[in-house]
Amino acid sequence: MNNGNKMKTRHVIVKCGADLYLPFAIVFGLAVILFGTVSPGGGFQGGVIVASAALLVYLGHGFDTMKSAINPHLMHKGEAVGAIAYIALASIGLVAGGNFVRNAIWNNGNPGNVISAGTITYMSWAVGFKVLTGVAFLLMLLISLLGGNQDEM
Amino acid sequence: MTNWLTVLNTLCVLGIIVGGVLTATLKKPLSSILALGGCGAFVALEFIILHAPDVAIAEAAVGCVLGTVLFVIALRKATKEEEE
Repeated sequence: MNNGNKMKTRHVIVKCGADLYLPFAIVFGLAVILFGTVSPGGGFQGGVIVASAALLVYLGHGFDTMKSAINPHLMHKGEAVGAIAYIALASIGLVAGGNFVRNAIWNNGNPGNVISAGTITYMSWAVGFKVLTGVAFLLMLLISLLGGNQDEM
Repeated sequence: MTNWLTVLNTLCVLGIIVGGVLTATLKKPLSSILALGGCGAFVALEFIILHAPDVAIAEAAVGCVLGTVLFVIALRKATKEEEE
């Protein structure tokens, strides 16, 4: 690996393909989280789909770009924020006089609407945020442990 | 008259079995990884047939995309270090 500054660049098709699919991955993952209460999907699935965008950044542009695009310390803290948000939203049921994950503000909207789920929608967003930050941090850790900073492919 | 879902179900189970056996028996690691990805795709299809689209999305996202790509990255790094 002692090729010095003679660094091979990535193929243009890989770069453009990663750039093309990056926004679709993010928007589709966020849609899966948003419609998680009324259709298949949910926080975990949408979070994993959004986190795969981090993998697309690595595949297209290398580890240095990934490291500058995603702050690992922020990801690490964001996972804790997601967990705390989930516990806090689930505790609303206790405050409202029920059991732990009781749906407290459920009687707005018709069944089948996105807005009809009450607390469950916000808990789905909390789980999605926790999973997306956690999986993105995990991917960065894994790729850097595998020697991804030696940037030649 | 056999239900077409039964036929599809049988084909899916056969695909899972073939993918698993190929993953275990193929000599080249890259072929093994791709067979594992194909096995994951058949598992996701089988989940859809069994009326669990929720689990199918998770299986397709984790087993098919993240697992395969991470295995390929790890294999590339490992073979590069071996050549050195």
